[in-house]
Amino acid sequence: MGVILLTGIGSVVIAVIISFLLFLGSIFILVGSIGLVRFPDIYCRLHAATKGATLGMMSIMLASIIFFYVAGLGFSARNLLVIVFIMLTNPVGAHMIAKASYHYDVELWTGSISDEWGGQ
Amino acid sequence: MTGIVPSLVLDICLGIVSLALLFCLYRIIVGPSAADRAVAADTMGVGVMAAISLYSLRLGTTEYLSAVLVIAILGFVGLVIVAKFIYGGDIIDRYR
Repeated sequence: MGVILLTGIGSVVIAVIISFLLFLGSIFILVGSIGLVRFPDIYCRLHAATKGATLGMMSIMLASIIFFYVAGLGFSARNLLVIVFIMLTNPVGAHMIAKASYHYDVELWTGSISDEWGGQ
Repeated sequence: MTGIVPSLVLDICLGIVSLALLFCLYRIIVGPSAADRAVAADTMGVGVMAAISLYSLRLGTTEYLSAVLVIAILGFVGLVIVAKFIYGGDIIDRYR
């Protein structure tokens, strides 16, 4: 695959798109981590951390695909594989952790208004 | 090749991801239950993946992407194993 040479306004547009996706992904990961620190119990923390990390990682990987394609290194299928893998496995892991911690009687936050497994 | 994106952008993104890793480390240290620590470790794995990816963008090489994929797989397997361990006190199911 040949090197794609972009000059002038095209390279600026590509740089703006890649930079926007990178900033978006980094800020999503940061917001997920802040939620991990500040939320009151394990279930809220799972919600924040899983969603933020998944979306942020997908955005960064998309920026990486565009970068390597424009740089002439070909279409990097490993980045696409990481996107698919993250999208499949992160919610599964979060559900398993939530079910396990409920089974282990980790207490809900006192402000929780619904506990359907506990019949309330 | 490395001049497509200004390196200042990559530096700022690496700083943001490093701050996120520090927050995850805080939750690993003070987390009240084992599940908190497992979730924080998984999120920290995602942050490390993002940092490696940003660094490979900065160097302009695709050689580090295999490391990203391996960390993704190992993080998921580790999370599932910790969940199974919390759930039953055992990693491999026993009959009866």
